[in-house]
Amino acid sequence: MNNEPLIMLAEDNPGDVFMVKMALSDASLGSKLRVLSDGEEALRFLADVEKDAEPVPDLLILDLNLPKYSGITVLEKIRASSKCSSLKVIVITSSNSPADRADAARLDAMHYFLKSNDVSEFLKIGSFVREALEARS
Amino acid sequence: MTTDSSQINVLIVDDEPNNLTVLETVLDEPGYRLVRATSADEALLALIADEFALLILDISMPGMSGLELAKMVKERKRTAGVPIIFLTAFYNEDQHALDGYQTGAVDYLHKPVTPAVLRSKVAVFADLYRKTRQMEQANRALLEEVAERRKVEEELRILNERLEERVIERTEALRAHEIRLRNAADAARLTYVEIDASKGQLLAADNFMAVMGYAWPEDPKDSFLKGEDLFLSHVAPVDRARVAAELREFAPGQPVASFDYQILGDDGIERWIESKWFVHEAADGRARNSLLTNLDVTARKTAGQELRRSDERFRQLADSMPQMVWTATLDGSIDYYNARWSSFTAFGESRNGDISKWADILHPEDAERCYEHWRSSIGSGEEFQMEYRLWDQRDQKYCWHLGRALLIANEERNALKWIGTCTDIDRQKRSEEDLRRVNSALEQFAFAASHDLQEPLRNVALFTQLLSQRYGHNLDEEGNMFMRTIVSGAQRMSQLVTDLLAYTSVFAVDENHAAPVNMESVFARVLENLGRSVQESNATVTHDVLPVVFVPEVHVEQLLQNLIGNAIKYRRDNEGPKIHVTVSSRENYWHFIVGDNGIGIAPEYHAQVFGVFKRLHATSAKYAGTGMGLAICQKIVEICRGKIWVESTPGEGSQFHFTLPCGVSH
Repeated sequence: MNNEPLIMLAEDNPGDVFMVKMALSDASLGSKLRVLSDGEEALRFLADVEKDAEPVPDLLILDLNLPKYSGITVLEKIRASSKCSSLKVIVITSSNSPADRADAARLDAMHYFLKSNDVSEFLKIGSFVREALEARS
Repeated sequence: MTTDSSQINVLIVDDEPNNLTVLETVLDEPGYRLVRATSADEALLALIADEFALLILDISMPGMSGLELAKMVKERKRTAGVPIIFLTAFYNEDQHALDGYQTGAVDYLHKPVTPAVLRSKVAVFADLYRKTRQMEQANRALLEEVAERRKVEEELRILNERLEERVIERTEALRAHEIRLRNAADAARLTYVEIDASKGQLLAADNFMAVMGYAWPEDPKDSFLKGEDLFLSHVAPVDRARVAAELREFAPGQPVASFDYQILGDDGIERWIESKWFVHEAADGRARNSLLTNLDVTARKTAGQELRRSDERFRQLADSMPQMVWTATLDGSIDYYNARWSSFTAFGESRNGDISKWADILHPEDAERCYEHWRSSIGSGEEFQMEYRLWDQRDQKYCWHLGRALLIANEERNALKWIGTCTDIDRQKRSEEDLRRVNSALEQFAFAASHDLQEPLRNVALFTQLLSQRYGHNLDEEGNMFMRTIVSGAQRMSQLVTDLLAYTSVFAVDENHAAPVNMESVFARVLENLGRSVQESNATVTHDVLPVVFVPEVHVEQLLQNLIGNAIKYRRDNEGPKIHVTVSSRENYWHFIVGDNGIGIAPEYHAQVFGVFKRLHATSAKYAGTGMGLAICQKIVEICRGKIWVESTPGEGSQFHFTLPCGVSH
């Protein structure tokens, strides 16, 4: 690992963005976090990666309920892309619906993280991120 | 040896051939056939071979003498009657011996023979022989004739006996035939009056009274005049003049058409009678016998009336109905419709039987679907039922109708025709559509609202917690309590919204998403999801072999998860939860029971536990929840066309029962 890992966060809710940032900082992963605030931005970023205009990130934390394009649509595009087809993805969502869980599993998400309304629970995302980055080789 | 039957045989015996030649010369006549023998032995041989009328015998012969031969001839029965003429020397001592023979049978001549004497003697014997033969023949013929006559008599007797048997048989057959005819006439309720033209009499059949309800005059002499009067007096007054005219119109040899009328019997019963004339020409071509048959047709008449009445009732009923009622042939051409149909379609009577009429009023988008369904109904014989739009002539618009049609089959199960109704369901259909639109909008709203509500709520909860963590020390205990209340309120509300979301999302997956689901793998996943609480509560979760069901997979997973989750949550304090899923197969569904050994539910709450936000326990850490779990379960089972209910004894445990279809649902 030469330089700091790049983590992308596709999340429109500033409160959740804040919580993720706090969790990453608490976990002191030394990573760099970039935020994509809706589905369209996420797809544009993906297109840029394909064009080598952006680097392939080490991890994507993906909210499912994104404006413009849903997280599932974004994930489908990622899996269909040439550069990011095996990108590590952690899904974060407030939906506990089996359908969403099934979609995430089908699209090979590493974790399905339910956004908690309890701070300490929410901060546990940090350990999942660490796990994901350590698994990277 | 062939013999001419008119010739008579004469045997001449002499040891001296010259003598034989002399005899042959003397007796050379066509009537005689002379047989020569030169010794007694030869003579005996000849006698055995042939029948002779006369034997002319030389007495003195070497070897056996003539006398000895004669003795043998007389002793043999067959030759005893043959006359013998001995030839002797004149005054021979043999004379005495010859005297011993009977006269007529035996004669003698002295040698040398006088030809004339010999001829005459032989002629006498020949004549005697011939006469005897003729008599014998006559006698034989007589006997034969007697025998023949006996035979003929016997044959005649046998013939007679047979004839008698035949007569008896035919008589019996005739009687049986007559009985059958009478039975048939009785059964058919048919009687007749016969008019004997030669005697001017009317004779009624035995069953006249039974059919007509009054008795025919008994005295045949009176019957011709009285019969008609009596008959007309029994005919119902309304028919009397017409029937009398029919009788007058009848001319012998000219059969009239049948006529019917009502007759009032002496027994008080009214009958419908159909009468017909039949005329028979007698053999001589002059006398005509007539037959007036009377058939009781009451049953037919009243059945016809009943049918007309029933038909009338049916039409009145059909015309008073708000539905359209019609009948149609198998190809769909309508052959009857009620008033409502004609006012709706404005089809006049002239359109009756016109096959194109369905196409005229069916909405073009519904037509093909309708015809296809129609054809398949004809094929299967099943009831036709579908919703389609029909053109309303009065309001000039299409209206939704529920069309139903039954195939009417005869006893051989051959389809005969359709009987159908069209019920106006336009208003229901439109309100149904409105309802569906509203429902769908509501679902979308609830889904969006719950999602969009989640985030601010979570922010409230999370950031109040952060506020408390970072700045709590700047507030007093009461301030901190306020913040804790904000957090728990927001969290509870978030949970409510989550559950409401789950509840509304159940509707999004309807039975169209049904597919075969292996419940074994669903169960494994549910246990994985519940892993932590199973571990923490030290629960034992067991199950029967689980089947494949035909429902949306997400539903069956949530259903099992909610029920098993509840069974763990509502456990008794002193005992680890023991949960078992039982399965039994029914005719076309599966019956599941999720049974536990938990705290149970009092009977009065069994119905309401499935209500939305219904909770039996105050919100607490122990029995956390919003009261949506079982409401969701109920909704899921409803969508899967199953049933759910609970049986429970407080303090012992609960059994949640539910059913799911096992085949492809319709």
